[in-house]
Amino acid sequence: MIEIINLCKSFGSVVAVDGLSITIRKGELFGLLGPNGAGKTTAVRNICGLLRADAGSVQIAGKPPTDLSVRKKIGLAPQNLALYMDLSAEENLTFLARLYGLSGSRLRQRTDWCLDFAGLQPRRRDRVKTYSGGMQRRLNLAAALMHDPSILVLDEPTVGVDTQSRTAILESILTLRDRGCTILYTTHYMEEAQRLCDRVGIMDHGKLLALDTVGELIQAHGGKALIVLERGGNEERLTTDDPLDALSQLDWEDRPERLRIEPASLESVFLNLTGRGLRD
Amino acid sequence: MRNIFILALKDIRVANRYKLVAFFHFVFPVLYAILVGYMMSGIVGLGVGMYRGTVSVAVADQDQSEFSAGFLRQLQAAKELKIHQVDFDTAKDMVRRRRCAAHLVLHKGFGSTSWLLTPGGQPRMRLVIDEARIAEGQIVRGMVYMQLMDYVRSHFLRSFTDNPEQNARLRAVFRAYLDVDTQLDSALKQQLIDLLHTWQSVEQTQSTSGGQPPSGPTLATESGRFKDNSILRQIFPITFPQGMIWAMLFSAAFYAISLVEERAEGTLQRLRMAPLTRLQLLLGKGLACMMNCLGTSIALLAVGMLFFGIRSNSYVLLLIGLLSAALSFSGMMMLLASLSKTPAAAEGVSLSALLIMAMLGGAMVPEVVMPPFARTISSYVPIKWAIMAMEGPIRRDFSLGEMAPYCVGLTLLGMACYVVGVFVFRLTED
Repeated sequence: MIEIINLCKSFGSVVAVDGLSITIRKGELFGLLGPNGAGKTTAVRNICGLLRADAGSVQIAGKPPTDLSVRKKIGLAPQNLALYMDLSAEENLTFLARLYGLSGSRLRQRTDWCLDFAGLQPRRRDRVKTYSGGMQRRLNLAAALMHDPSILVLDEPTVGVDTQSRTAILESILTLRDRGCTILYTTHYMEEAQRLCDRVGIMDHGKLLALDTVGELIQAHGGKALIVLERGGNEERLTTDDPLDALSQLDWEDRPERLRIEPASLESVFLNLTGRGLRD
Repeated sequence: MRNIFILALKDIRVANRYKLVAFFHFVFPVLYAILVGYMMSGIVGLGVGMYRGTVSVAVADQDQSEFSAGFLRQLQAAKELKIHQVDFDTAKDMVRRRRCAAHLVLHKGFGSTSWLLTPGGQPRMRLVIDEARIAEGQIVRGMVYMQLMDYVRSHFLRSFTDNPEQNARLRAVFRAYLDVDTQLDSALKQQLIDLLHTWQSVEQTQSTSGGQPPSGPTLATESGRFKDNSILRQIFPITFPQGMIWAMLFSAAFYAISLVEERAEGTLQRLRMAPLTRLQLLLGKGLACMMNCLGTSIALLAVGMLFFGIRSNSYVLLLIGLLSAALSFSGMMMLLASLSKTPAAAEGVSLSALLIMAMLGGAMVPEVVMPPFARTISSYVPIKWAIMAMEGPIRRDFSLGEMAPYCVGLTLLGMACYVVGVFVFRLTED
C-alpha cells in the first residue's frame, strides 16, 4: 500500500531522514517510533508529499503522494492542531469536506459521523478556541477523516491530552483499523504503540534502527526481564531470560514481603536501541 | 475555480470573526474619510474664501499711522484671522509660547505707500511664522497679503475719488508724462496707464451708483467645482478614495499575516493534503484579499454616496479602477507574505511597507506638504496610482484612456507580485 524506498531528506547540513525504507501493508496499523528529532515528522511529511525528497521515493498504491488522486485517499492529522480556531467544529469540517468535493446529504452525513466520532456533537457550533485541549485533539483527528480516507497518517495524535481523551482517541484508532483503514502512527509513547500497532519501526538520527512486530522486537532487543524482591526492608533485583525458571529456583522459605516482575517491553527495546542520553 | 472560491469564503468568514478587522477594514476608513474631510475643508476652504477656522496672529503696530490702523481694522474684519494687537516683545512671546501661529510687525514708515510705485517695492512690515506651524503660517501669509492688497486698492480708490479737483490735476500730470516721450521706465509707464484706466472705470461706476465708492475686489469664490459653496462636497470625493485605499492597505496586511499564520500553525499543511494545487491554495488567499478590498471599498462608496454626496461620472470606470487596485493590493499581499517566515515578521513587513507606500503615495500626507523629491517619488508609488484610479471617475471626470495608465500599471504590478510571491512561496515551502 505504502512503499518508502531509500528516502533521504536534509535541511542544510542537518540530515533529517537518511535512507528510510519501509513497506506498510494495506489495513495495517504501523507505528513509527523515535525520540524527539529522530526524523519522524520529516518522514511523515515526505510520505504525504508535503516535502520533496532529496533522494529515494514514496509510492502509494503505485503512485507518488503528490498525485491529486492519491491525496484524496490520505487523511493527515498533523502534530500541530491544524484547525481554524475562530470557526466552529462544524464549520471546520464542512469547509474541509467541500475541498474534497463533498456536498449535500453526503456532506451532512460525514459531518455528523465525524462529530460523533470526536464526541463533539453538543458543541458543534461553538468556536474551536473555546474547546479544551482534548476536544481540539479529537477534532484534529476527525478533520482528517472527513473525506473517509483509506490511508490515515497520524503524527503524534495524543500529545498533551488527558487520560480520558487519550483513551478515546486510541479506541477510535482501533475502530478505524478494524474498518480496514491503513494507518501510519508516529508517537514517542511506547505503551500506545505496544497497545495499538501491528508492526513498529524505530528510527533515530534519520535512520531506521529496527522494524518488526512488537513481540519480535521485544524478543530481539528487549533484553532480560527484571524480578524485584523485597525482604526485611531490602530490595533484591534479578535479571533473567526466563522469569518462571528464576522464580522456581528462589529460596521460598525466606518468603519475600513483596515481589514484582518487569518483563522486557517496547520501552526497553526503545531505550536499548536509541540509548538513554537526553534529546533536545 | 470552485475550490478557490471555497478557500476565499473560508478566509472571509474567519476575517469576519475578528472585531478589530471590521474596525480597520471599514470603520477606520470611514472615520478617516469623514474626519480628514472636515479637517481638509478648513485648509482648502481658505483658498476659495470659505475657510471656517481661525488662526491667531499677534500684530505689533510700530507705525501708528492712519494707514496702519486702517489695515489693522481690515485684518480684524477677516473672519479667518484672530488678531491680537500687542507690542513687539509680546508678539514675539506669543509665538514662542504657541499662542499664535505668527506675528506681524508693521514697521515705522508702513503707512508711506511709495513702495507701490517702485518696481519690486515691498511694504515696511515683517511676518514671522512659527516654524512648527508652517501650514497655519502659510494660511496667515496668504491672508495678510490678500488683505493688504485689498486694503491698498480700496484706500487708493478712496483717496483718488474723494477730491475731484486733485484727481483732475493728477490725471493731467500723468497724461503729460505719458504723452511726452520721456525716459520713463516701461514698467512704471504701464502702471500709470493701468492706474488711469482704473481711475476712469471708478468714476464711471460712481456716476452710475449715486456717488458711492466701489467696494474692493472680492476673493474668488467660484471656480468650476466650487459652485454651490459647499466645500465638503468637494473634499469628500478626495478623502473617500483615500479611505478606500486605507481599507485595501489593511486588507492586504491582514491577509499577508493570515497566510503566514496558516503556514506557521499548520492549517496550510492540512490544506496542502487536500486535492488542490499549491497555486489554487495561494489564489484562494489572493481572491479573499481581493474580495475584501472590493467589498470594503464598495461599502465605503455606498456610505459616501448615501450620506456625503459622492457621485461618479462612470460606474463602469470606477469598477475597473477598483478591480485593478484590488488586484494590485492582493498581489502585494502575496509578495509580502512570501517574504515573511513568522506572523510577527509578516505583520512588521506588511505594515511598514504599506504605511511607507501610503505616506509617499498621498494616502496619509497630502501631496501639497511634500518636498519636491517626495512628490517625484510619489508618482511611482502604486498607492498614488490607486488613488488616481479611484478619483478618476469620482472627481476628475477621467475617460477610459486617461484611466488606462493607472489601471494597467496596477494590474501589471499585481500580476508581477503574484508571480514573484508564488515563486518565492514555493521555494521556501520545499
